[in-house]
Amino acid sequence: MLIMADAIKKVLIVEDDTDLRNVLTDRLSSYNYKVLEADDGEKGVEQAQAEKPDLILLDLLLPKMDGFKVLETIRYHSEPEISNAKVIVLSNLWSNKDILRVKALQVDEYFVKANTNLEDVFDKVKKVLKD
Amino acid sequence: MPIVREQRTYKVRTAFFRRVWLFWLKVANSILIFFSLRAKKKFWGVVYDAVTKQPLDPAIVKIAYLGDTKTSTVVTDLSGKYGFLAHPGKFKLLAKKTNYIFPSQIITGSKDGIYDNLYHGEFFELVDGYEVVGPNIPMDPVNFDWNQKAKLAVTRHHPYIKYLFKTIVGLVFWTGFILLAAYVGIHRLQSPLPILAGAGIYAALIVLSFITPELRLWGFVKQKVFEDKILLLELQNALLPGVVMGKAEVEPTGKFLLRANKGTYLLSVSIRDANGGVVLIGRTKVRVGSEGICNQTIKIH
Repeated sequence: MLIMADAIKKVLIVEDDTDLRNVLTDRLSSYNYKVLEADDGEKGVEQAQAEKPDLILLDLLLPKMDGFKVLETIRYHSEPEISNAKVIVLSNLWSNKDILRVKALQVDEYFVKANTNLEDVFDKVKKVLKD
Repeated sequence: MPIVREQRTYKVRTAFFRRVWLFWLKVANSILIFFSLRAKKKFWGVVYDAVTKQPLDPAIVKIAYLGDTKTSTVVTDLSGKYGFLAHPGKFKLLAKKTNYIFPSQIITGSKDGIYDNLYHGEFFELVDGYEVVGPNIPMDPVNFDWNQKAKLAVTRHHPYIKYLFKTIVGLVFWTGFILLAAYVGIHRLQSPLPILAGAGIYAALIVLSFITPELRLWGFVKQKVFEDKILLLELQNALLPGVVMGKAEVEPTGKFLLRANKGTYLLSVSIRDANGGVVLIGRTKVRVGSEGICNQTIKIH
């Protein structure tokens, strides 16, 4: 299958757990997305600013800079091309306080890792990138 | 997939008597567990650090059936919990977690003093029906894990303290029982009234332990409207509609395994139509207790 390089969607996965990141990367790569990876919050912001991904799959408990700060930096301290990126949060934090805090930063979906079938995450990624 | 409300509306609600019965069972089981007359029901297996006994998150647990390429994968929560509703067949579980290895070489037996029903990669065989599968899985640390350290700021588990508390309560309870029984045995009905009352309470608790069923591990959908359709359940945060906190597919027997943290939720019931779309049937409010599962009976008519 021949795909125009410009048409290839970029997905940035910011997740510190290598095994989970690999599961997500393997599957999303199979959909012909260009998958970028970051294992801490600082690298996540750097990658977002350098690569301008179409979608960011973001964990919240992260080394060096937590996911809340990553999201704030992307939304409020980045150029429009980056600040408008779609964001799906995949975290095990589930309290209303955490969810409200993230929702205020305009995320496209909040998945609680433990209560989510990963297939739903992949379906959501496909849907968000299609819209 | 877009959700489209069907023309015809159905009533979806939790069964009232089941709700009352469930409340009573929870109270009775809590009393029995406190006095060590019943082991705490394991709704979930826990993936944990074989050295520190702390739960591991996020660990990936996969159920793989022999001769079937279809697998199901779940991620543990902050308390290391996970579970599957397995269908008949021969299967095994595989656990993965960065900086940890499975199966554990440190703990090789079936219990370690804190956790029991330990799993090391053996095959299970389920002959019929659908059963909840969730043994406890120890994993050996091989490197420092940042996530485990960071998690302590969010949630802290004290398995040794819990174990010690449980042991002390059990010891006090059974010592009291032996002393009371000996006293009443010697003095019979001439025993002082407080002693007789204490003996009566012991007797009532022991009878309660025999007559009280355990809480079931799954929820159940009772309906005859959509017998040939796959029912899908979705829990949404009641205060933050749109945030999905749990999903499950109802098995042909009506059983479902839907986990969520303690709280009140909106439960949506949908069916998958012939084109693969999802059609909403109705919604009802449900309460999930500290056991972390929705084990209500849902009626559709």
